[in-house]
Amino acid sequence: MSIQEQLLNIETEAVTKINAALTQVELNDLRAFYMGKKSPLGEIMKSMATLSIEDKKIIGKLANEVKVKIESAVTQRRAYLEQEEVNNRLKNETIDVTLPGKEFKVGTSHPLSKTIEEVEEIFMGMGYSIAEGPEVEVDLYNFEMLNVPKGHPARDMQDSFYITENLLMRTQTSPVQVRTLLEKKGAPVKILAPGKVYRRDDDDATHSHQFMQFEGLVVDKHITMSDLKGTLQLFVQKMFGDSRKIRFKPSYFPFTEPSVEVDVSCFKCGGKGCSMCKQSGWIEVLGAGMVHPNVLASAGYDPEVYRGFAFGIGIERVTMLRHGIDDIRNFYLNDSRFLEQFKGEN
Amino acid sequence: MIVSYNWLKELINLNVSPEKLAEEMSLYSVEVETFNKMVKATNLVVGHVLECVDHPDSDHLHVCQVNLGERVDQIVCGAPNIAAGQKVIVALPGAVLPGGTIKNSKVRGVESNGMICSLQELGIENKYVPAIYQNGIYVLDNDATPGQDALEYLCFDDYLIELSLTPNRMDLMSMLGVAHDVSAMYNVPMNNLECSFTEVSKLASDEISVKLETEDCYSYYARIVKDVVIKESPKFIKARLIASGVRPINNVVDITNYVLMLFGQPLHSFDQDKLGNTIIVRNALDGEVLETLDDLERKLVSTDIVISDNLENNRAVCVAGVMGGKSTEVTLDTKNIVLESAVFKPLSVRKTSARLGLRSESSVRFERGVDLNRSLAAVDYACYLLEKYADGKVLKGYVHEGIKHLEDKEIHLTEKYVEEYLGINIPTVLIKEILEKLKFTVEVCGDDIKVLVPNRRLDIEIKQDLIEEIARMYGYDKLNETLPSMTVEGELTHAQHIRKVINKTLVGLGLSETVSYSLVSPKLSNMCKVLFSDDFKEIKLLHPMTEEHSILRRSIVPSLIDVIKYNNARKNYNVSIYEIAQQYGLENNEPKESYLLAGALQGVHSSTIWQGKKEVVDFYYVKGMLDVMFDKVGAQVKYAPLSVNCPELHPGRSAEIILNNELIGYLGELHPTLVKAEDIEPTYVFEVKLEPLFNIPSNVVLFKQISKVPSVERDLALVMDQNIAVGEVLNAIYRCDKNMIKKVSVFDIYVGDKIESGKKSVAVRITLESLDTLTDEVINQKMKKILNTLAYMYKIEIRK
Repeated sequence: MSIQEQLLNIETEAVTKINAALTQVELNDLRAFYMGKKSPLGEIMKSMATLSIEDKKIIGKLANEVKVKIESAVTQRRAYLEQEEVNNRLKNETIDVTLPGKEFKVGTSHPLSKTIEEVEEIFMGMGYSIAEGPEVEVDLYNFEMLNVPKGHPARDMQDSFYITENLLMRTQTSPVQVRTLLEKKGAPVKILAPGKVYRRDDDDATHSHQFMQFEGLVVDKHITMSDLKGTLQLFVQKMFGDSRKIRFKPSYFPFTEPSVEVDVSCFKCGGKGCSMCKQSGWIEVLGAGMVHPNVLASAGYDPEVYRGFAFGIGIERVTMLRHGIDDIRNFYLNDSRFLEQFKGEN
Repeated sequence: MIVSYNWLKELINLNVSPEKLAEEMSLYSVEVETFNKMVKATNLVVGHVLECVDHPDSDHLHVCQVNLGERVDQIVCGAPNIAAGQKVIVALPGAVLPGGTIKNSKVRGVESNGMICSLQELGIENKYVPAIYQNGIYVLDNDATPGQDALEYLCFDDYLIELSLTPNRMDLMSMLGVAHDVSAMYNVPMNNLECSFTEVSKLASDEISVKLETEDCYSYYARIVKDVVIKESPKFIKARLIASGVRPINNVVDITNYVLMLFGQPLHSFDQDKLGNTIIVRNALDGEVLETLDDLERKLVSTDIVISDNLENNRAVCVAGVMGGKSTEVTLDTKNIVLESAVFKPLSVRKTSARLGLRSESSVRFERGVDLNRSLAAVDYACYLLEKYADGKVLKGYVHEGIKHLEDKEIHLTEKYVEEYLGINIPTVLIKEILEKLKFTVEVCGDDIKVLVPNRRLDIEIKQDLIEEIARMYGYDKLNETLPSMTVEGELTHAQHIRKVINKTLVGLGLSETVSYSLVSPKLSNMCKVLFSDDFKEIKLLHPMTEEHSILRRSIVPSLIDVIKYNNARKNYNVSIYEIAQQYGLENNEPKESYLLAGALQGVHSSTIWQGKKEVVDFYYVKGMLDVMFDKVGAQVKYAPLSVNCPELHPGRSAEIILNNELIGYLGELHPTLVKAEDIEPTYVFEVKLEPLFNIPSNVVLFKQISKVPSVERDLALVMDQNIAVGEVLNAIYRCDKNMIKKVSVFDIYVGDKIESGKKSVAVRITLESLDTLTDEVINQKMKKILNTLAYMYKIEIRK
């Protein structure tokens, strides 16, 4: 067998064994054996002394090539074995990703707060500030300055929780209007006042002795009733959907003149008539009107110079309509099975 | 107010379907509450019972041969009062009644082709059915024609429009008032009411005189009608009264009620033979007693107005505007009557009717205000009806005291003002046209529009009221949709912002928000008195509806305990809730309210049960959670054992929260006794005053250089007396060098036999950081200082 043949045999044998190595240790041993000084290759190199210069060149080159190939086989096998190790580890570490994850308590705002927040955001986008006032209110602000003097029939509509003769739980958020006007002293006003109000109603599916309202008030020199309509149209679209329409119907509130009830085209049937809108196509949602001159005057705004509009909504009503809630008491019982239904709404 | 469509059509030339009228009244006049047919039943005709024999196979059924006009048919009837010769209401096969559909059938083997009906079977309420027909079929008068539509015969073929009247529109509490508005809506004229009667030569003033002794009676008319014959009212009157919700009684009473519904003017009729010859309108005497028509003795007070006569020391005979007296009641024997058409002060009638619990069709109208310009026409119309339907003879003239006529109100407007108000232009001619349709008098002079508003419209006082009339009649749908042009910006106040931050943080930490009642029971009102003292007095309602909701709460936590109880009782466990709401109380007798944040947590807050892992709420969980929240709002709080007595809390597991040396809140475990009494799971609660948090100014973070070298950690095992509060020790360490010591944490606590008894070993990790490299020398110096401090302050030693 020629030297060339011996070299090629060594190469074949080494590469075969290297590629069959199953562990890094085995591979290291093989590398040490084939690349070390006492390796078969080394033996052949030693015997090269007897060869001619020409042959030395040829054989030397060949021997080097064999060496490189063996080295490369080792590198490749090493990479392969490392990858195998990783693969094995990953395989062993595989878990059932369908098992339940850690259960956290998920919190949620109260559905009434969600409605308030949404309404606030809509109106803040239109430049309104959020105004607040006390819930224990003086008769003067809750009634008198809102054009509801003692003995006025409108006091019939809202039997109240009195604390003293002149102090009561506010029956509406409207006293915030009075307080804001008094505070602003003639400057333009653009506020939204959400909050709790109280009336002497027996608690049942549609009544609650405590409920929430929000009140909007805009006062400036050039305010018109068309501004009121445009404002509410925009609000209703943002709150109930772009295709919603509104209509005004004559109504009465002591602190506005003219006063209107505001219907919204039914958000369930779109106006065709369904059980939700009692076949009328419309749902009564808001009360509104132009601020009564007596209210402006009593707060120090000259009604010949200033005009304004105001509107109010029952927050429970809106929330019930939107979510299909059929009993107002749900809001105040705070059953966790009720509250947690709203955790997915953001 | 219920409007009869047929009656309305008699008053105005109306060419609009009842459905459309109901829909459009809501848009142009006043809200329509309901719209219905007066009787929904169909296929009803008049039948003449020709023959009525007993059913061969029944002890109560009758077999009748009934003339139905076009044919005679056999009908089986079970009513006890059926008899041959009667004219009756027959529901033909196919008729739909409230009780079901009528079909040809066999009743115990006998063919029956229809049903003879009672009024109740048509859907008429029992109270409107005459007593004699309440337990059987209704028998029609003899003038009914067989085969004729029975509803038409009874004047029941009507539509009812129920108005939801707002307090201002008292003018719509009469058919004439509604007719005025509807005639304006459709621009159709009103028909003249026929009101002609013959007066006998004798003067009413010869038999009666009137004295007004109170200012609370504005006007009083009296007329006398003689020789009336008390009987049933004609069908149309009965039908219209039933439509209006008034029970027909007899012609005289019915006529006064009919006039009330038509004119909105309450009338009262006295039996003249039981009444003296002088009517005195006066205030009642305190304690005066009067037996009213409902057989009750009414005790009166001096603010009540009474009608009295000149008999028995000027006895009261009627509570004015509210209810008549027994002594002068019109009965079946009455022959001569005195008719009263008066107007009383609204507030006085309101107080009296409220005090006596008597709200009638009369009192409601007086309370809202009656148009005294119409009082005479109303009483005259009653005379006309009494002559026509009660054979009465009307005495000549009337007796009157008080105001006879109120002038129209004058209000001025301009087209420009209307335009500025509504944001749309309505030309003067159109404004004039609209107001004239409402029967207001309008004079245009240059820009000025002068409007004279009749007294009928008591609600219209200022130009804005007129603008409402113009706008609703012109149509609110014609308003533009514009937005106010203003230069104000919308923003949240700092307090509102902080509340939002707190809400978001707590929801993010897994708490759900509740909204509970502000009004609580006396028991709840006196729980959890940590954030208020006894000087912060309860605010109590004057007239609570129930004791359960009688006092304004001073703490939210008791309400949350109730919520927990409600949930636990329904097997909803692991509740974690919070609420931001007001506390209310009297401070130096002035009401004060301020925001509190309260929370209640219990049970598991996170878990991977199949791995055997679950974390349960404990004191430190709640404390850590609060720390997150305080961090978010920039509050650096401290905790200390609760120094205030709070029986609702576990004394060893409750802490107060201190901000700038002020107690602003507390947290703790509910007392086991309370937990047991309320039958709830162990629960932790907290409550924090929010005003101090609102007062922390919003801060802009100033960047601090980040050290280029890593921080260094040193662990110490500190042995100290068991009663030493670790929190204080941590603070003491931190204070040794606030710049360099970034963090001090506890990683182990040991109590046991490896250390001296009465001691605990607390393992702390101190993280030091500096902009420059920390040398061992510097670190050791720092640690030495810490150890010296701790040894000095707390006799703490390093564990060996």
